[in-house]
Amino acid sequence: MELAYRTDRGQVRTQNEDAVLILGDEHAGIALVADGMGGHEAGEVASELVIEQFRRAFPTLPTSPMEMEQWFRDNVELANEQVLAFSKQSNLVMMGTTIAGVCWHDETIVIVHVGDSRVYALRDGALHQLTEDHSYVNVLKQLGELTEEEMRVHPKRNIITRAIGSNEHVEPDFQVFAEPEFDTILICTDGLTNHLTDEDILLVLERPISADVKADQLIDQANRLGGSDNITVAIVQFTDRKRG
Amino acid sequence: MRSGERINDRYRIEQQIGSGGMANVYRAHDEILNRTVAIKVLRSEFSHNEQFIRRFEREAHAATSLNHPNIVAIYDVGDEEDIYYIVMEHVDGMTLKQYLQEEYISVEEALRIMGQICDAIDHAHANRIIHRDIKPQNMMIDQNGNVKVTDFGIAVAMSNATLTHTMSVLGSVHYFSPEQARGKFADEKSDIYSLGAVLYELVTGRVPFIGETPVAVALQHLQDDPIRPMDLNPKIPQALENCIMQALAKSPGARHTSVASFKKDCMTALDPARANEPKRVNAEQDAFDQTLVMAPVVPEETMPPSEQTVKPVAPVEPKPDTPKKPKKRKWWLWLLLVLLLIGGGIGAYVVADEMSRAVVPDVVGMTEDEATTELEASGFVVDVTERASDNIEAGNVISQNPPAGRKPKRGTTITLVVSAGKETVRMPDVEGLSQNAAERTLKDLDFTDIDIQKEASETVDSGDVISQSLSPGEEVVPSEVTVTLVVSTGSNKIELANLAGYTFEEATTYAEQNNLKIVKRDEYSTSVPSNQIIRQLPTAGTAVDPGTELTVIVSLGVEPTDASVEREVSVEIDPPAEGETAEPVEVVIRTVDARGEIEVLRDKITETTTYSYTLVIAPDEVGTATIEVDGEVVRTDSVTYAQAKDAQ
Repeated sequence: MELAYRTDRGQVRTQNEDAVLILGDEHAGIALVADGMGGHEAGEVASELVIEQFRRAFPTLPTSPMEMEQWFRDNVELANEQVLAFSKQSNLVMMGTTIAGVCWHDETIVIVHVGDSRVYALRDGALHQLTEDHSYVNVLKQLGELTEEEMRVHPKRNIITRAIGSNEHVEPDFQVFAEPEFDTILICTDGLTNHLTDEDILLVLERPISADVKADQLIDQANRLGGSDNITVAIVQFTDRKRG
Repeated sequence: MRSGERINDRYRIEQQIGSGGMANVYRAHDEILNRTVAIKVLRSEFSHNEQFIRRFEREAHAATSLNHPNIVAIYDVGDEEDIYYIVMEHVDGMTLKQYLQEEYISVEEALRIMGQICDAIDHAHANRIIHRDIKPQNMMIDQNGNVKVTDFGIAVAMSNATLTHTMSVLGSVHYFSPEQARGKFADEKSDIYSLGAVLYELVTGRVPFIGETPVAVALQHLQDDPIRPMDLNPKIPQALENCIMQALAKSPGARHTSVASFKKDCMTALDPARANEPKRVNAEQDAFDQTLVMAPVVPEETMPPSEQTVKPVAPVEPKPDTPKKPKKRKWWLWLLLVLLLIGGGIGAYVVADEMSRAVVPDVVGMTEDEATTELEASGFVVDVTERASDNIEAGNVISQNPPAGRKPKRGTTITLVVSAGKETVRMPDVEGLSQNAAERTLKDLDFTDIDIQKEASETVDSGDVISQSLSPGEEVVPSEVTVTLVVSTGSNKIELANLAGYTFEEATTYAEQNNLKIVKRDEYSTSVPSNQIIRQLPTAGTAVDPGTELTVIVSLGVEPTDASVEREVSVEIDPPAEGETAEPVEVVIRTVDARGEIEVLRDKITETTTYSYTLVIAPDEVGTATIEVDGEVVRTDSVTYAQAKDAQ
């Protein structure tokens, strides 16, 4: 198994409000990204608080699928409390963050997300987006009110409908996979997907190169196409399964 | 900010009076002009994003051009040590939203409030400023019932604040139009929709759509019809409901053509002449709904035109589709009759009065001097105000009030609006904006001739404006000038991507797209598959000029090696006859192979001997050995590369 991550400020922003964490090995691990928001310092703190929560919780990662989901739920809830507490104490009303991530134990993979950061899986040469963005435009798209193209240029495409730190309770989405036989998992913030299409991502993930170089190439490409936001990727590559 | 703190050594903060996601509002004292002002201060966590701040200031500056009794005046925009602020007129009152929560509002009062809001928005539209965020929270009402609209154009600054994404930015979903929900650019028609939504709330006490989440509300704007206002408040006359429903039409084209026409529509809604107006059916409703509504409606105890209307109105006839015009005339007939009955005294007065009156001549289109002479000759006083006009030549009269044909008393002041020529605007500063934003800013101000030139720049980001041909602040007529914008194509230098893992074809495409000369160098590799890039020169991340040579080292795959094979040959010598000694023979073995031509062996033998030799064969070549005995070739041994490989 290969693990790789990169986080980049992009070409426009003056700060990087994204945060990322990968811990573990082929038996058990977690990989997460968080995209903070709320202006100067607020965004950086929010995403870092979430990452820190999981860094500390990692040793308690359980082994059964049911418990893994509950573990995710509990820690997202704890992270939410911390961000809320910080924003109240510092009077940062717009503070919040997304989260997207996976944890794995042997053949089980659990996926969590809140907001518009995404989890993709590559399996048998096809790329699957496993998460549905919790965003205003995606809701309208699902209801048939917006086309894919209208969605990409909508001035409010950056508005998310769920976030960590915006409410007393946070409602994450979970998915549990037993023996999913993924070749590669990619977790990323919208800084990547604002610029790269699924085809672009697939092309890079399929190359017979190390996860490190893939991460570099994804970030490079997003930056070349404008790098309008912070860009973060985390890659989990199951090498043992690769090339049969 | 704390009370007592000072901004710019001039404004002393007194008290926080409001707060929002992006800014807080304080009451403050302007110590130079000795007056109370309101100061909106950008929250400090947003005061580090330059792009956002520039927009915040620009929009605020745009709004300073508005001068109207129903618009909160903006006095000053500035910054001091990371504190960005807008100084505004202080309105001693509350927001319309708060007012609505505290007070019960009659239909008449609602219309009185609405009329003022319409005047404000109409004035803004005349100055080509779209509000885009009309909501009761953005309106102040004072103790005398005067309404003032605020936050002009701030909505644009907000929505461009790419640094935020949370639901509260969607904020005013209750009042925004379907096209805004879809992400289309908002225009005058969007403001009319929002005005309709505010009027809906004023007369029914609730917003048109109620949902659990902002997204749910946005969806209803796109898909649903609101509950009919008359179902919520039976005191609303049909004409007013119709007016609201038209403003709230999903399609912008179905709404009123202008704020003025919307205003006229709602202000006349209590007019008895409109009492029997049929229910409006919005075109986008489906046929089923329409047939239902078009069927004759039996009026429930005949619609009360309004509670305030006092008796002498002609009795409302029960037939719902009485034509409206005749009734109006009837009303005037009644009045006339009453006047005639009152009789002679008044008649005499009217005649005497006639002497002191004069007919206003039509002076529209004349020069100011001609018009003044003509009006003064009829005994009127002339008052002139100037206004910009694109059609009327400077110095000519655009309009007059009272209009021609009226018969006011001599000495009445006739107001002339005289053209000041084409409207000039102050050239905005668009340097540093994206090309799109710059063009939109200019088009909003009616600049039509915009010339874009591209140029590389090391300092200005790609797509942003480097310079403009007209300097900011210059007074120009937008329709008469060409604005040349020089837009950056970004740094000329190209930061090289990491091409490792690309195929050579992909790398070639990359080089073409980035205007680089690609040079291919082949190399064998055990780790990189054939035709993929192993590495590159210069290395990834290096910034290079266009046209630079980019050398890519392309894998040939695993290097093939020479195959060597051991061969044996036995040279047989017949044993000599009894008693004879063997005559020695000379054996020579030569090889021609990857090593060249080699004489492997030269020997003299008298008995059968077996020799071995090696052939080294390059890929796709053949190695050959010749065995000579006493100068005569006795055998040729050829081995192909494939055979040698197999033998290995």
